[in-house]
Amino acid sequence: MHERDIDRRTFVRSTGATAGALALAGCAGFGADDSDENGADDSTGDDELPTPAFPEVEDPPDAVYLPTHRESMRVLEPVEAGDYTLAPMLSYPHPFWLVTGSGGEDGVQRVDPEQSGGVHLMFVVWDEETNVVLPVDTGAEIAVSLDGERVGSPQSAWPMISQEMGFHFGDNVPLEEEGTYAIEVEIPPLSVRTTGDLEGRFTESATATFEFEYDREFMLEVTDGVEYLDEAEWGEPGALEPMAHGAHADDEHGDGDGDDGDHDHDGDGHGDEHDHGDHDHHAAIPYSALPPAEAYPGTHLEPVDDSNESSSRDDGGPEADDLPRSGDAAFVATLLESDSRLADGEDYYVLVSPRTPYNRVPLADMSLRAAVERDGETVTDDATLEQTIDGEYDLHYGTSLADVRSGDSVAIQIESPPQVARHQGYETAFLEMPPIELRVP
Amino acid sequence: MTEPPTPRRTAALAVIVACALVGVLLAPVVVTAGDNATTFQFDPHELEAEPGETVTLDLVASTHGGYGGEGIDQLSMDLAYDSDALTVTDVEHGPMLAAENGGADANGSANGDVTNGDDATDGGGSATVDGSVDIDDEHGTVTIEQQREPSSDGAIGTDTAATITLEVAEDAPSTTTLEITDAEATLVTGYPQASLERDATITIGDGGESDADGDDTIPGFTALLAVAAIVAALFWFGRR
Amino acid sequence: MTLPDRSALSRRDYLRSLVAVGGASALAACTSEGDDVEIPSGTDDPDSLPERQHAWNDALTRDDDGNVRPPEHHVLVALSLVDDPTDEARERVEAALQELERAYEWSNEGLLFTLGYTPAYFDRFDGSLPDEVDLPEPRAVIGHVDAFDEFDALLHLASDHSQVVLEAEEGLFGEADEFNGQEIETDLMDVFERVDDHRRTGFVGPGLPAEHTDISGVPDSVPEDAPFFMGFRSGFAESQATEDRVTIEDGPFAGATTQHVESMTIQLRTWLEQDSHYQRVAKMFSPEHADEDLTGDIGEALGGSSGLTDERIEATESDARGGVVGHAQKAARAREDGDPLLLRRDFNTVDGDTPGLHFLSLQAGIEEFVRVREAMEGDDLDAPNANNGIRSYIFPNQRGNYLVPPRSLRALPAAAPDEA
Repeated sequence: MHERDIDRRTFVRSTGATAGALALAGCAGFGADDSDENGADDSTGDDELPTPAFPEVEDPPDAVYLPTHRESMRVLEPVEAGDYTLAPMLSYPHPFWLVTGSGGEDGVQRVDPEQSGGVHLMFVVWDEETNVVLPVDTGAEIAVSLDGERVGSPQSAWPMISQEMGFHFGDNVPLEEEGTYAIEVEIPPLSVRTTGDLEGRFTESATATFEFEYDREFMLEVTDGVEYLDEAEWGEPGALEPMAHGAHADDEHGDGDGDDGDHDHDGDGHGDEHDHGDHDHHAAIPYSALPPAEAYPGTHLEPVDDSNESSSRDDGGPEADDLPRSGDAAFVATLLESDSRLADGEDYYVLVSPRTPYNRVPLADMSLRAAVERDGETVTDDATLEQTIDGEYDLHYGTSLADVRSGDSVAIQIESPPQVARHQGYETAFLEMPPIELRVP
Repeated sequence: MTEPPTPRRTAALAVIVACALVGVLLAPVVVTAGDNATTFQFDPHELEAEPGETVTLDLVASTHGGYGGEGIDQLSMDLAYDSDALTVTDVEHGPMLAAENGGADANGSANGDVTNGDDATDGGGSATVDGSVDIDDEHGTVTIEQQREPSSDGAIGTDTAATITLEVAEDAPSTTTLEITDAEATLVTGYPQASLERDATITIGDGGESDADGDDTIPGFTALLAVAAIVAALFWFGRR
Repeated sequence: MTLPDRSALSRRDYLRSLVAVGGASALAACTSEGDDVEIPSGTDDPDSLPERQHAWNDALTRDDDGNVRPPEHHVLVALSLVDDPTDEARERVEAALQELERAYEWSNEGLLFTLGYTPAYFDRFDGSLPDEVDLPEPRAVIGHVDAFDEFDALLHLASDHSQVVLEAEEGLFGEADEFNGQEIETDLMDVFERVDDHRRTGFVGPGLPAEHTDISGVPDSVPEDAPFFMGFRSGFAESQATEDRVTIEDGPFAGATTQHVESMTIQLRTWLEQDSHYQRVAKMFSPEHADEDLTGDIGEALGGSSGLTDERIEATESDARGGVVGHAQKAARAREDGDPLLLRRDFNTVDGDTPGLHFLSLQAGIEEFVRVREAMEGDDLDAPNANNGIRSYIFPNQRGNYLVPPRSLRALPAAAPDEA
């Protein structure tokens, strides 16, 4: 995004100097997807041009939105490594966005692939016993080799979220030649607090290795399987449905391609070999969806009137509508009694679970604090909510509090938005995140 | 174009030399490509025709090329139509694949450097399009295959890939479509691009009220070409 | 090993490739390239040289900002003893090293070197190292590494001239006849053998990293003038320990220092091609450096200081909670009374045809290195791995600890020299 701004400024600055250049029209042109930036012909736009020459979402909202297309990928057999299970997936190299720090303009960086040759490598890491996807930045290290020879330097995998994949690790990996590649992934011990059935596990690093064929067939498979949404939906609030299914039938925005018959998903010209629906194959791979709000016990904290985004929205899923939001993230916040296994001694436990508004993807690597006030007086100032993965409640941020009671107001301060890279459709959400004001009912 | 349609024939190789304005597009344009994709659409995408009338449509392909600035050197386009309503009488290869790739860096240049690239990577404007066309009027399909010769850096841009001539049947229904059932562009590296296709709708008229205004072109398209030329020229002059 | 293709490389690039390859034929090729260079000769009076082997700073030049400019070319020659040390072997080592000092000026124009010894070397002696010497066996410190330096000694050769480091190495091992035109009388061959697997080479200096973009892991986007691969200056005068600070003051090894060598590969592709300059500055220095644009393109705007105020160092924890924390900022937390503990003499490498860094650090004791390295890693901080300094871009794979004795004890010292 930052990048585009630079280009645009340059473009605009140059425009005045060479008006006479029109004389050169008549030969095949370069992409002009920024053509509206010179202010010339924006008005001819949307209703007449059937499809933009280049598929791109203009000016996406500061919220979760529908991207231009559904990604297509090859899913490999899951691999077990120590306590971890890992499912590799491969697509073609594509842009994503890095987030560093506050989520301000400078901290968000669009990353385009350096070259077209290669793959977008992804893997989901989870615990086979609980089926909990492990959604935090562990610092997984990747080494690539071709026919037993190392290719390039070792690299770290970015933690990422995507609408279809949920939380995963990934990066674009440039590859020069076709062949059988082996990827070695070393996953270090999990440094985050684990509780419940996950407590005491993931303390050893583990190495998983998998192979894939990078050839013409692969390239065809992952590009042919791409499905474009109707362009009227591009950039609209909503999210693609998760790739592996079951849990999200309630997602009205899930299959965005409406009744436009032009997407070549079924049949002719493709045959069966691509099988991009492919649901059976994915059945064993969990999607990183958090439990719905009602699955969390305890006293759910309620939004204080008008303090949150939720009241002004009507485009969320049925559940997300009721939850307080910040930066388009939905927050489940609940107060567990001292008999909860998560609470220390006689304390209460505040559990805060931020998630994407449609697919309930956990928002990891945030920094959250809580403050409690009673009748205008501070009861607890600035309690750090520790990032935790629980065998039942999955990723959340929590802390034990000695003194909380009905009527107290609880402010959740977001010190940093989720420091995870984003696929298209998530890169403008969960960045500027104002505090959330809640009260104990 | 005037010869009578035959149920099945294969057009001879068509060779078109494009881009006489050598050098216009030498300078790099940094674009932040939305997707590594090629779009296929008809110009016009909606038109009206009378029963018995012969009409032509351009099949226009657009691509930014690959992320490393590589262009495309192969196109394949499969069309389908209702052979009771339409007859494809001719397919001419267009110049799209012969377009210059001026070393455009679609990478988005992670350093924000808009002046990188190399202005010496022109192919001399001498690329040509070799192609074949297979019209199966019985089943109502057209298969078009094209290859850029020589491949060199491949083609980047927006231009006509093929011009389709259609004859509307006397007893055609009120609307019919010319559908792109499958289309694919392949980068010079061999990696295909994702494709986004848009069909054309032909409204069969009532014998007199043919629409004479802008409906018969893609309005944005002409503007696109003009702007594209400006963009190219700007960078060209900007580097002097 | 085969020599690099002369026709395919620039002269400077070619010379560096020859250092990396090593051997007599590389030296011959290098010498023929370097005919026009006059190398200043050294001294007949060993006593005129500093007692500390690591006293390099006064023999080096400084840039306009007062930062010491390290020699451009480096070789780390791993050595293994042929037999247990004897007085005769000691004399031979000393004689050979004095020949080097006679042939080459003690400077970046001539040759700077140190000879350090591993804990494994000292294990063979009955006595143990004195309490003043903190030299444990190497351990992983952070994460894990594949290999430890378990050979006996490491000769660090450094010069601005590639043919000097090559000639010195080859001459000491019988593959050259002359040191800078002076006939070689004593070599190290009967005392040491080279451990080729652990031979390491490298370079440091403005523009040198950018000359390695022919290596697959080195993107074209390495900044042209950057002295290090990661694109920024390092070794700011203010963030380097003084030679005094890293010197062991008391005991039989007074005048010595300890040396740690951490070898790592660097993931430059994501660093340079994916992260923005803003993100690189935030991760390398601090988020404030990025917000306020304190560094300039390659750190040149910082002058002689890494720009870390006390407030910035103290803010490390809260910056981490803000999502990103700088490498320099984290490391500076280990300073004592504002003084850095490490004297870095690190340099980049393309050993193994992969971009990397040999992080060579001098400090009074290895424990100080460990403390700084742990602070650099920042496991205690809340920042996610990818934004916790540069830790997700570097992959340490080898470590070694050394004692670099004072010059008077540099030739095969006993663990307890007083008793020897």
